[in-house]
Amino acid sequence: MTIRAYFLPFLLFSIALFAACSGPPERGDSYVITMKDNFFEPAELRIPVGASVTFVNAGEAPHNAVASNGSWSTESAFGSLIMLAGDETTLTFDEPGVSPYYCTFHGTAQGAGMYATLIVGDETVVEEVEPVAAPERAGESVTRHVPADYPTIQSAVDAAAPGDLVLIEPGVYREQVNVSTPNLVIRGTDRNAVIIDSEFQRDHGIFIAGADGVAVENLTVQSARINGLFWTNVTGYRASYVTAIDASVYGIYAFDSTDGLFEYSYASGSRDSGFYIGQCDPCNAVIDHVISEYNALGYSGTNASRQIFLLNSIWRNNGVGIVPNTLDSELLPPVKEVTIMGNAVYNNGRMDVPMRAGEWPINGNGIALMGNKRSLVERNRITNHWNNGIYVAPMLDDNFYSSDENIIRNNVVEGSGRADLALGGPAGPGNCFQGNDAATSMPPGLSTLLSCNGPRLPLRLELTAFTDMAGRAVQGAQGWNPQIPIGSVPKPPPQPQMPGGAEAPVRPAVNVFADYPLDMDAITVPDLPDGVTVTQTKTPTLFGLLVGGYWINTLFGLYGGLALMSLFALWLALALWDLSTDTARRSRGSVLGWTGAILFVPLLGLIAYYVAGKSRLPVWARLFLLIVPLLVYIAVVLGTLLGSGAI
Amino acid sequence: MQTFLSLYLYILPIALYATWVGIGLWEIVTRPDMGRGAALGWMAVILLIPVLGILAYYIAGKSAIPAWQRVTLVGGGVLAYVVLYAVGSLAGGVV
Repeated sequence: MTIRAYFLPFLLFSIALFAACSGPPERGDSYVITMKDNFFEPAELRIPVGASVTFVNAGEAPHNAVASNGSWSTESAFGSLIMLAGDETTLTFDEPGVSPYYCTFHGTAQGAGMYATLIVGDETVVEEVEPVAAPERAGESVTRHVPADYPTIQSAVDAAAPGDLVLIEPGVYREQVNVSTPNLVIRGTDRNAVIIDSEFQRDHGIFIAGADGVAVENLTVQSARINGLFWTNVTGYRASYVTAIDASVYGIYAFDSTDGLFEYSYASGSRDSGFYIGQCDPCNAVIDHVISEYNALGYSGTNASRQIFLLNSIWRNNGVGIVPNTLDSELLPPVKEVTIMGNAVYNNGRMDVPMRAGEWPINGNGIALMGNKRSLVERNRITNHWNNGIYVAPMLDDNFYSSDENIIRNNVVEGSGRADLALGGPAGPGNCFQGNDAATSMPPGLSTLLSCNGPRLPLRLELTAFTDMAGRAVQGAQGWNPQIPIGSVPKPPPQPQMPGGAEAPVRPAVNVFADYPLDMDAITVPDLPDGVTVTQTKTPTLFGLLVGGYWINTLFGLYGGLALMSLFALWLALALWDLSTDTARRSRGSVLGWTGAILFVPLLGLIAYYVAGKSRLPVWARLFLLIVPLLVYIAVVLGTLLGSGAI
Repeated sequence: MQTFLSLYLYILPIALYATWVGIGLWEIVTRPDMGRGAALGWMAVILLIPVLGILAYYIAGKSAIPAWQRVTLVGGGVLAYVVLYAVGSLAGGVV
């Protein structure tokens, strides 16, 4: 056997471990902003308070950087406003805040030309979105009455011009409405009595493909074979006072679309998620004052990044409450900078709701950030979840995505079975937990040891949450997860009507985000509604595993988590014992040298010692110790995952 | 204090388990009375069956470690865990 043959698994393991330890820069690292002809790179940079940034002129022309509000300038450090090609200077930023800046030669303080943004600390940034010109149309907005003027919604939509109102009287409409005309408003006169029923035979209730600016208001869509309301590839969309029931996939859904709003809407019984925004960056989207219940997921947001705000909503009785996530099956991974604020998230973790196999691995969590970068979870109330209240976790799809630099602060988390706050490993750097009213965490001490303002210790390798997901992925692939038929969850009571009803102003979904009054400072932690109390109690854990969990999850936890950790400890202990008791044969230099190599070169130092360190352990024992357990652990976990079709 | 106790109780079983395995394996590869086949067999049992494997070796592996020391090694750790867990629970819950 050559050395190379048994080196391979260790290299893989080492690489995995190093990958888990690398990532975006942290406190104490140096940051560089490059000035080119004529722009700054990166256009937006986020740094910790107290960090230094080096500005480098990598262009041909002279440049500088001056804060739009005049609070700092490269002149103060460099001594001149003129930095020539190759010049560089370093500034330190001690005040938190959002600081737009520009080059006085090639840009303006107002944001034209060579202009960029520096964010110091954990500030939330809402970027202004440039409004677009109001759509032109010939003549007045025409109201198309259904069924008085048009027998079907589709015939009214087909006849409508941009800016028209399609106004629907009460009735059950057994049709799929396809919209290709932009800037329509499709409105019911009675939210609870205007029903588009897909009867599980038609794909979508309303399908808006490529038609910008379509708003849907005050009606109900139900029993879609795919989605209740579905926008794709549009700029400008809005759902207001819409009820979406029993969709086979998503209730209210916007894909590959920007500039949108879901407000005062309700979704239940979806086999995937009630509300879904997917594949956009920046999304420029808001979800405000919605209710999502009895879905597999309350909210799912695959690769829906930046300028996306989930506010003041109720997510209850779902399998999981809120799940911004990264998947390779959609473009623009990974998911970044989602803001979740002022939500009441309670009593999720239901197993009697329809779900696809893919949702089972995260069942039981309130808010789950799966492979998120720089998301913010703040001022939410999260109550009664059998697994974790707030769960920051990696995502394994075709690629592995750790969660990095997420901020979890000032939430109230109570009644969690495993832990109120959980950081699942391998996690990336910079995640922090500050000011939460939370009693438990996994690993313990997150609020103390990974606080946003204090030290952040690298508690990033709590593997049992990940092995638990892997175990349930196997169950899902085998169909062992709960199989609940669509349409079996409780029907919602009548939902509130849109103010103004049929007479409300006709507002196509144009400049939705730019016109939306985002006031996040006013948001407070919501109360639990009457009748909801904290009922979930803490479940004991051992090795981080829920006591009494599914056997396959326990198996994965033992082989994929505990055994790997203790194997490393074992290698370390045997090597150090061997070295420190081998005084008869070894010089002090040899002992110190090898001890240093083992301690300072993670994993590789140990392996080098066992390979070339003249250990007293017989070769056959070393070979067995290094190779067999690792191969078996990997085989047990990977083989089960592959064999079951889970990956 | 609560955080410290919880962190300790989280880490203690993992560290203890690694210690049990480390001590058991060191004995196996260095004891003169065990042939290579038997040693490999016990190593396999210990490394491939988490938790139960090492307990089986201490019980049935004819370890040269005196019985009272083996009982202390395993039972002492378990006892410490149970007692501290109980104390923590009484003192406001192990978080």
